Amino acid sequence: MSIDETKDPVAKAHRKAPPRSKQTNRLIPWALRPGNTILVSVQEMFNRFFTPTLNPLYYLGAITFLLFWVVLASGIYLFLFYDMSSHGAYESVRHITQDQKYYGGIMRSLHRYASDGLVIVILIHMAQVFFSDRFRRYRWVAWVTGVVIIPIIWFEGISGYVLVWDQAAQVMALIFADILDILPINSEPIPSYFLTNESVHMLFFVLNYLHVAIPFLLLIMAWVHCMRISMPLINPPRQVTVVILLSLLGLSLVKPAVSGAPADLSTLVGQAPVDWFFVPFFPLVSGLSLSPEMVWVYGGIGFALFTCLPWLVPEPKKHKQTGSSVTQCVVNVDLESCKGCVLCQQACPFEAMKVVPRTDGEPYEQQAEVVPTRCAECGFCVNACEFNAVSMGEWSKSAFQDHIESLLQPESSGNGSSAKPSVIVFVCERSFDQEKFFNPKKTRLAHNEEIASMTIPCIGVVSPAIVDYSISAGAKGIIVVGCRGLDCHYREARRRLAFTDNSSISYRFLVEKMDEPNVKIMLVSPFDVDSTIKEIDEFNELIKSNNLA
Amino acid sequence: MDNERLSLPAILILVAPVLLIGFFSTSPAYEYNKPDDSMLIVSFKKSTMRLTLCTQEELKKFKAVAKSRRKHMQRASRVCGSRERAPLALTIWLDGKKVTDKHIFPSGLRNDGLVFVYDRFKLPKGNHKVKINISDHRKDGSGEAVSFSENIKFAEREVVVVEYDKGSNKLFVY
Repeated sequence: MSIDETKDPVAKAHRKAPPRSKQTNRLIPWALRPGNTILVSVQEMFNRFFTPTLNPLYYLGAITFLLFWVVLASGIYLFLFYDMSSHGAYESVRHITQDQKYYGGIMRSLHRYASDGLVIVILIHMAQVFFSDRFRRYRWVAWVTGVVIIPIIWFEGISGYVLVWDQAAQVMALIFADILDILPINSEPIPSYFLTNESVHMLFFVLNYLHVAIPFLLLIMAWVHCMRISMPLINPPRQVTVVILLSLLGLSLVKPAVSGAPADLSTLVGQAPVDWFFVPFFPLVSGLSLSPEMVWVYGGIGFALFTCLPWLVPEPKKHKQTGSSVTQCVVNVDLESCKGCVLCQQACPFEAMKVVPRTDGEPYEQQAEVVPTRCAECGFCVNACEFNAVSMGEWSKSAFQDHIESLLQPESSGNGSSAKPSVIVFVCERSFDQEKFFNPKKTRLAHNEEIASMTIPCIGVVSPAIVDYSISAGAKGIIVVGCRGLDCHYREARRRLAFTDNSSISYRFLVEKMDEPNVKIMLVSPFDVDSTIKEIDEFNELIKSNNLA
Repeated sequence: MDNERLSLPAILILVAPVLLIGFFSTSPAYEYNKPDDSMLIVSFKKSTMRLTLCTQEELKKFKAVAKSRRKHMQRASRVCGSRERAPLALTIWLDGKKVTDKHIFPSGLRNDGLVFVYDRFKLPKGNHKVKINISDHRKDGSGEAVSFSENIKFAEREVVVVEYDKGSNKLFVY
């Protein structure tokens, strides 16, 4: 069966596609592309040292969790020995640090260094998510909660420093009190609590309770943060975990965290150590004599800007596959065909497909329903549906199958010859620059017109049924080219290739086909174009020689 | 994944940020105040006067019915005169130069609470003449003023606090 290519959304979209530069993903907003190129290069460099399965840049969120658990566990230990009064705080911290050198001292150092690490990892995680375009649309909840978590962690860190009640704590407390005093939360000026060593007592209790309570708030925020993320990773690989923990432990032994001179509110603090991860702006506030009002103005503008980034970054104009505006979900469920079988719900990585009680009187208990705000337009649901009930713009399962059939028809090449392809390559549109990869019609590979090719939103749309269909339509070999490891924009490549036997999931995963000799799955980096082409050629030759044999 | 081992360069890459943490968690230190800095803090709370009091007629009327009222309502200020209190006028001179001249309003939605004063001034160490005037007035012009004038010797990095004593109605060095 052939299809009219003028109606084929994929071919249509490709014909309209302007040329793009090397290693630049056109689906990423132009404002993020330079940063994305750098990010991908760094990830690729890390892949060389770590391999994609152990690359810590793929586990930044999980490493954040790891460091949080270290901070929490060490914090609980320290709390057992800590004196919550301003009079006893310094002495109790001294006791923990010096008298219990090999327990409390290490715990205190771990507590401090892990919280510093938390700040670094969160900032890198944030940059990574931003430049890989994983913060907008269906991911805005994770982004906004992540941005909100930052000032909470900042407050938690500063309150922790104040509780040590040494000279660094004193100066930090005073600057922080000045900044907080702007808020209409207390009629009495907050700095006046830090007037004498006696007057600080009351505020110390409040800080103590806040410091203990905030981790629970952080846990709730972390839960909301992960709520709409497809398969959140909360544990880094064991090897990475061990190295991080050992290096933190080593640092705690080599350079234990210690207190400075005790706080004395009757004198000004001269030189004091600064934790540049938590309070880099305190010296700035002090040195530039920034007023607390200006701190709030700059901080407020920065916070608002970061929070609103998902709506500020300009969108790429059109979605390649559907031709639809990317701000509008175009997934549609045809209730006449829908049997309420939950396959689409299981396939959806963002819980955008719901199964609800039937509303149209058909003799099935349930029906599928799309939650447009969560929809990523990945197309997984379209290809998961066995009844052709789900479509995405002009993209439907039958259109996909029709396109596969048309690809397998002989096609006139540039030199006038006609060749029927025996291998189809499905290439994820986000995997790498494909400008030189395809022929002008984007139906064959540029260097070898014997091989049919097709871009897809993600390898997640290639179900085992699609592989079977392609083979029954005449293909002798199938190659699926996706993104390496967690580079996958929808984080699905891992899942599609990881589930082998899970009785609770009836949706079939591509992993079923991994061991079949006529199916090749390649997870590549954006820099692997040449080696990918080479492997495809080798596979094509293998398939051809097997056929001849 | 479980069988994969991290190479030495990979381990070094993971350890590098930890070394950075070790350094930047305390260094470089920052000098918040120079050795010859000192500080004057003027900090106190004061209950200022009510803006208006009961008139003689109101007082008479009130006394006639006061005994029949519940105990907490037996004070005249509960039923007449203003609840609002006067703002505090604060003026501070340092070595003869006026550095603060402002009115501070009492706390509370109805301005019926205490006036809180908190001001601080960084000074070079040594002798400084500190003069502070505070006053609050009713609408009819009556009121009170408190004055403080003293030569204070500020030692290196010393913080001197000027407080208000309600009992003696005086400002003093804490």
